[in-house]
Amino acid sequence: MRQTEVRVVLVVLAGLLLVDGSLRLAQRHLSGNLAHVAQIPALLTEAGSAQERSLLLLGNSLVNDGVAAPALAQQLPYDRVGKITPDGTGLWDWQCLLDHQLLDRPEVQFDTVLIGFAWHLLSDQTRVDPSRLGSLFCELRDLSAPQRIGLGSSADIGEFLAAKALKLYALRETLRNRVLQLLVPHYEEFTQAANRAGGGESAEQDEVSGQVYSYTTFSELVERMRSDGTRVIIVAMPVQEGYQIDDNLRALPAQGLLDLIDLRQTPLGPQHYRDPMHLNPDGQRILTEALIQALQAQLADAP
Amino acid sequence: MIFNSFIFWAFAAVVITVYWRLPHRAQNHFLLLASYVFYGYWDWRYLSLLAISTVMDFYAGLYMNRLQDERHRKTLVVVSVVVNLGILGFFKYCNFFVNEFAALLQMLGFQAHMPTLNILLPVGISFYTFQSMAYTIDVYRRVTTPTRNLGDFALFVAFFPPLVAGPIERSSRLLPQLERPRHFRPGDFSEGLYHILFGLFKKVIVADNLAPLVNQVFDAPAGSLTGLEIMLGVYAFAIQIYCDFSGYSSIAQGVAKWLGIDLSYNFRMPYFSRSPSEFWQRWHITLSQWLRDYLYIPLGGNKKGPRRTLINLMLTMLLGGLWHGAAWTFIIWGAWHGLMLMVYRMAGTERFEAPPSSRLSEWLQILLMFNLVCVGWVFFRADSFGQAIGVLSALGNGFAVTDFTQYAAAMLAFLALPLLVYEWRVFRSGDILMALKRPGWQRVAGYGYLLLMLVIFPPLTQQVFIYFQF
Repeated sequence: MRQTEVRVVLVVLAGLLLVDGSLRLAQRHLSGNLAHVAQIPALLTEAGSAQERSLLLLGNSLVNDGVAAPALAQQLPYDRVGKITPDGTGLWDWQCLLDHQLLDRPEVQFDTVLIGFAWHLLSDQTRVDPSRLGSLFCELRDLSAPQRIGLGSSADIGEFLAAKALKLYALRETLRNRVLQLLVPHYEEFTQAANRAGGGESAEQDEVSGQVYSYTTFSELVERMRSDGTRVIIVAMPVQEGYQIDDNLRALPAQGLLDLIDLRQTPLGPQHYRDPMHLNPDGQRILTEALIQALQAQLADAP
Repeated sequence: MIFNSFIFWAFAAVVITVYWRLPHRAQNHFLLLASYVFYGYWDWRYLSLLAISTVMDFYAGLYMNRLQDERHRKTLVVVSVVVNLGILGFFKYCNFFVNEFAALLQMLGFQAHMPTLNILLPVGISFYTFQSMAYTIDVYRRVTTPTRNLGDFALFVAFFPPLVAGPIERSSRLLPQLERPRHFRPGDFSEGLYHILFGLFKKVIVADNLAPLVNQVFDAPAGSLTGLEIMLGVYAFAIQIYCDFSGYSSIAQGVAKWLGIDLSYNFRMPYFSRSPSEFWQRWHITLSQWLRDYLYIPLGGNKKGPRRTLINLMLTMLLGGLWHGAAWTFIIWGAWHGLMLMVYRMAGTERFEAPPSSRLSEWLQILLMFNLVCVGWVFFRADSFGQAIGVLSALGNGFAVTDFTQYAAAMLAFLALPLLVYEWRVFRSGDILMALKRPGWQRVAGYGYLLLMLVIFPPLTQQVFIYFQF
């Protein structure tokens, strides 16, 4: 009995590994975002040549929808502009991405890294997604200091490890949504309603009243980039409802660590948005022009 | 440390690995230490309550066994019961009774400013208190011989798999298993694995994924929902609470099995019951048996005439409701079940205990019983009596098919239908371990399904077990 059951378990595990392996091969076809993430190393190698002046645009869907990279390449004194904007990401994802795809790779060098943010996405208190870190952006060695990559509990570490080991687990949300959208009528509509009622699932909307925000992790990341010869500019992106930039973040430009471009007041109306946060093509054109002007001014002021 | 967390499985892996490398006495000491670590992980301060119940009931049992004088024996058992219920009452019911007393005074025209305490309910207190208390009562009744080993008794009270949400084990079943050497028997691995995977599936996939759907119904103003939406929401809650609680019991059973210990079955497909008494023989079995042996029978059971039997049934269910929590909704839930037991008894319970005359009549009886149980769940889930009445009244809002009903029905079908079909087959076979006797390829398919669902469809946010609050 025991031997038979062990055999049953081994067959099940072998099947699971087979499915997992197939998923690893096919993951870039599952969604546009996963395809983009898979291209990041190549995109950075291509755009971040040490011999040319280069700019990296980093952010999430706010930057993806809000800024047109080709316009920046045409009108600014950069030979190459790279745009890396994986969905739903924030400080913790960007830290691992910059550490491993930029700072750890001497062949990749950017003169300027421009990070688009909203709310408190650059703060130590921004929400962490251990699955995304484990499967897409961080390395196993990052676990030597879990707090440094935002993993605050054993549950976070367990989720990180499971996502690192098993692609099926790491991509569960994508797979789940694909299957349930197919089988369950109005799945998206009512799941979003439930998420809103449960306090929001999006890190982008993670606003806690009375919370004091700190920027230690981000400051250290900027220091590492500055040591590598990279200038850091952060851009406060516009959203329909607006938000405050807190004083602790404003203090960083004052310390000379980085530059801040505030685009929250860009003249945009509801007609320029496709939802409460994301710009449509018209909105993108206006915001890109505003960013180019602000960057030209910044670069002219630069020593 | 909850069963559906990574830290618990890391803890269990270490405990099981070390445990089987130790000799018997050391196994018990190690399990006791592990159980205290498991409980202290929530709040180490409440370990003292566990220790107090343990030490008091151990010595009460020991001295009771030495005494011949019935009055002294009775005094000891009364002290044990009063202290146990006193601790339980203080932590669980203190604020409820203070608030209700203040409300009563206000109703009578007095200005009442009663102090309330900020008491955090120790997790699982109702379960281990009942388990420990039953031991002293059994020793008093001379149905069990007290153990002479404090360590074994402490492990009986604190044994971690069933500690916080049952099953509530009897000393006559669990203590002898702890006292004798244990060996990993053939079949323990497969049975434990089955219970664990099936329990995790019930809890993580079915219960936790239905939670947002249930919340959407119960958080909305009842007047804004149609009758069909309410019905689907209540059905979803019925399945959620069943899978949440029976999932926990199943995982506890599986982990205990991997430690060479058999725990009682706490659920046997309760929603296929044809009468309230059958339901209570299938739902939270160890609590039903506890209430029967330590409350219903001492009250006289069915030996003191038909009228007294009905009163005893109602009293037992009222206290069963109160056991779940300090709220009127739980008491009304208990009263509803008491009422059902009374009505079915008056209608002739034996009619439902006999084999059904036809498949159709069996289905109709099951369907009726399930819906009656669901009425009770409305009170159990509602925040207040008013909300429960609002939800039930909204059943009259018409049965239009809306976008939400399509969504809810499809989610229920996707998450719960495979489970219900499987449980129906188990119910018909009468063999709860039917799956383990199927051919290898069917077990591969079954485990493969459970594992894939567990990896791909865990809920978006982790949920604690509902019964932890009791």
